[in-house]
Amino acid sequence: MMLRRPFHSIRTKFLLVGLAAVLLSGSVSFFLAAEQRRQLEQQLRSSAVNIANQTKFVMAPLIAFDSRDEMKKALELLRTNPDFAYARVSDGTGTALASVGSAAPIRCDAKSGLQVADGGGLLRVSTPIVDGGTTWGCFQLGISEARSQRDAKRLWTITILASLMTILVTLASGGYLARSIAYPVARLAEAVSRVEHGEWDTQIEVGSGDEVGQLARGFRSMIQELRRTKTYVEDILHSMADSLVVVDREGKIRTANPATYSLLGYGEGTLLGERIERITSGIELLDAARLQGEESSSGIEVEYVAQNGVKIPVLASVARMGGHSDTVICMAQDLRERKRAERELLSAKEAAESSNRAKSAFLANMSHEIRTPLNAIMGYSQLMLRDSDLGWGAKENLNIINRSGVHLLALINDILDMSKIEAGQVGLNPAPFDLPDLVKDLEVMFRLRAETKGLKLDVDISPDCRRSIESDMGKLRQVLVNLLGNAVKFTERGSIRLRMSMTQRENRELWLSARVEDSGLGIAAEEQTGLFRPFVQSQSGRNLQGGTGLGLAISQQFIRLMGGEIRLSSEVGKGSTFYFEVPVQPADGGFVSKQMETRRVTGLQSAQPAPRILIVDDEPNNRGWLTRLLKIIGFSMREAEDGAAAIRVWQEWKPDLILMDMHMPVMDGLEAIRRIRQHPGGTETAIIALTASAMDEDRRAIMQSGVNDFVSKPCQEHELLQKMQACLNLSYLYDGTEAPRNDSGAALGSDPKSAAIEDLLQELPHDFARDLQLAIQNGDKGRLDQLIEQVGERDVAVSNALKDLADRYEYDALSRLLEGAVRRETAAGGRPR
Amino acid sequence: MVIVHPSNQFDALSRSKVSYLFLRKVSRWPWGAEVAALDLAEDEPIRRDFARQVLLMTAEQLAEYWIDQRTTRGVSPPLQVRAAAAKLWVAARPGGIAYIPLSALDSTVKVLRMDS
Repeated sequence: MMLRRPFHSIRTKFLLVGLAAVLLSGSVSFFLAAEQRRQLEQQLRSSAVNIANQTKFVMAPLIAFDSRDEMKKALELLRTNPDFAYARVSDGTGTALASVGSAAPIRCDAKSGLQVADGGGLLRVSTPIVDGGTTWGCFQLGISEARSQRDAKRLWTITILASLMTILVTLASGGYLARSIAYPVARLAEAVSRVEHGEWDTQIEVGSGDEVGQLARGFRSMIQELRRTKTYVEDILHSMADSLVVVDREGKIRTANPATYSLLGYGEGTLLGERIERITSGIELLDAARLQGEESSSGIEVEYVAQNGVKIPVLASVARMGGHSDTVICMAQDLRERKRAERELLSAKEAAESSNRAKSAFLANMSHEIRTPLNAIMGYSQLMLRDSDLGWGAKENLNIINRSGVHLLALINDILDMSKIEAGQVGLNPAPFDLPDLVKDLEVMFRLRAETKGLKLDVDISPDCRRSIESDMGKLRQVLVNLLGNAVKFTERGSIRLRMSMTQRENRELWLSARVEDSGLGIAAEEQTGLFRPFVQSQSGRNLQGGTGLGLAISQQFIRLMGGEIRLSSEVGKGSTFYFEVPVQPADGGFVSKQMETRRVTGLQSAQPAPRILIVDDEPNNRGWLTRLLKIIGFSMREAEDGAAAIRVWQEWKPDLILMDMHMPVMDGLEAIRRIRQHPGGTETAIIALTASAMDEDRRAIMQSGVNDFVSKPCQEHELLQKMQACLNLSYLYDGTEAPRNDSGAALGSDPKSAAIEDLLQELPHDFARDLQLAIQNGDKGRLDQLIEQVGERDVAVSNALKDLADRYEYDALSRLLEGAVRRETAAGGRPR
Repeated sequence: MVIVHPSNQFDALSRSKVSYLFLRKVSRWPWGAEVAALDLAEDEPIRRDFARQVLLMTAEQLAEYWIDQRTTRGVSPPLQVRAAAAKLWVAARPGGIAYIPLSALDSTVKVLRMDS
């Protein structure tokens, strides 16, 4: 690159200044020299005139007395003047009187006074000698101008030499200055201007150590620093994985890093100067950052547009550069990978959910498929037990079948419960209920079972318990049944104790605590921790067989759901204690206790026309046993094998109640219900749905279809009858003579009857006990029920307990209980058998 | 009356020449004798007239002239004597010149006539 040499460069300025100085000093010297010369001439002339005047006065007397020697002497004195050339004294006639030096004197005119003439290297002075009015003569003096002219010449020479010297010095110093200042400065300027134009590799020479050198050194280190900074910034920009774009106030791209180009597919550097709209429609985010006066904003999802038009989602953050300027720096992270991952995650989640749904559906179907045949097995085995013609052995076999069915049902229920818990499908259904009723129920349920094993059952409900509470009774009951059942199962002697109490905590929460203690085998410490896990059983549990290993796991999950935790303390050989606390809501009085009716229904009260019941089920077995059961009680029965048939029968026969199975060929239950309900008068008929499905979703669908109620299959006789009673507003005849229980206000612990089953049995008449035992031995369920009903005439609680045992076919326990009574009677001299 | 030694070659001199002699502007006579000029004492009556008529100066101007001469040229003023003594002094010296009143004139000295 050529160095520009402007007219006003430093060197030119130096030269101009030097030239001016030379001219000035030359002219001053010239002027001074001329002046000097003029003064020298003047001086010479005036000194010549002086000499002439002085000599003139001395000469007048000498001329008067014509003393020529004196004159000569006086003139000789003038020789002392170095410039002296000649002197002459002449008388009035012009005759020379005395003369010194060689001379070509000018004419002396006495009348014309002093005359000075210049020429021939001499200054000639001529003056008349006049004194006292007498003109004595003439004095002539010649002064050589040689010395004066020599002086003048020397002066000129000096002046010219000085001027030349000045010019030389000026030129030399100018050159020196130019070399030592102007050129380095010019070179520096050139180098800096190269750097300015982006030639970062330009070397800057550092000459001398003077200020210019320092300046150059300063520039060099400054440029090095700049280069370092530039490299540093470029390195940062190059190594960034995210896109970075700097946008100026006009919205033009000032900087874009390589990641931006590779992201968008543009050639390196092609975006510079382009408007930001070319790569993103998200200009408003830049404006937002500007207008809202914020320094920065981040986490904005916008789209960049690549060169091929593809939109690229990015996560952008914008910030003002330097805080306040209108230049905005915009960084963007490629979101494509993340979006893809999100989509994959989403589809994976959907896959997982759908597979979970499939699992749930599978479980529902399986449970349905298993329950349907089980329903027939249990129903017919129960029905056959009512048949008094069957022999003992056959009834025992039927009992085994029935017990196995019950066990299988429990197993299915447990597995379903567990799977629902694991699927998070279990919710709480809190409702108000009567706590003493629940406890009494449990006591009745377990007393006989305990006592037939020779165990003492001790139930203790603390007096500070509120009578009415709101909680999920069903789950609470299931947990307690499980714990008490375990206690009975694993205890061979001693006692079982259930304790209930209630405390109010600081935050006024009401907590119900329950404690089940036994004196059984106990559980080893190493087995205690895993006990609440599904399918984990203690060694003793495995030894006893039966049970799924799910009971405690389900119980624990239920209690956790209610906000508590089942805990355990146990010692091998001494017994175990399970206890838990759950928060409950106090409930006001005035609710209806949904106490399960446990008395056996024997028939319908008279004065009622027999209600017409239509039973719809595709499975003839299911229809068969229900039809027979309900006919015995006194209902008028019709059957249909699918939904279409049901609608036809309904139109023709107008039943009061339909028991509708859900899953049927031709037309399923839901559809049939929907059609009936749409018919005029279709709402007058009560419908109870029968379903083997345990899924809450199915139940919701059923309830929304417009049924009055539903019953899970396999149907429990008393549950079905109770629900039918509610729907049709029926009154039943029970096998007891007592009015339905009304034990409100009776404290449970003080109920003397429940504690006295054995005593009561002891007091039974001998024949009666014998008849009971005979019925048991024969497996004559009908006879047994009949006899138990007779016990109910004396004590309802005892008959209920016996009925519980009988219904569960615990004939062993029953006959053991009766054995005491029979033996006593025999010992007392009764008739032997 | 200006008197000179009888051997003096001049009989008469112009006034300006006389004044050169008395003002000591000429030191030797044309024949070589030294000019020995005398002045009269201050209180001699003719001194004032002499100065005014011959030297064309007042007594004060004359005094100034001599101070000037002494300082610039190293020339001291002539001796000042009585008229009688002046006559005797001129008679004894060939180059002598003085002025005396007419009453003191005798033949031992020669009178120098002053032609105008």
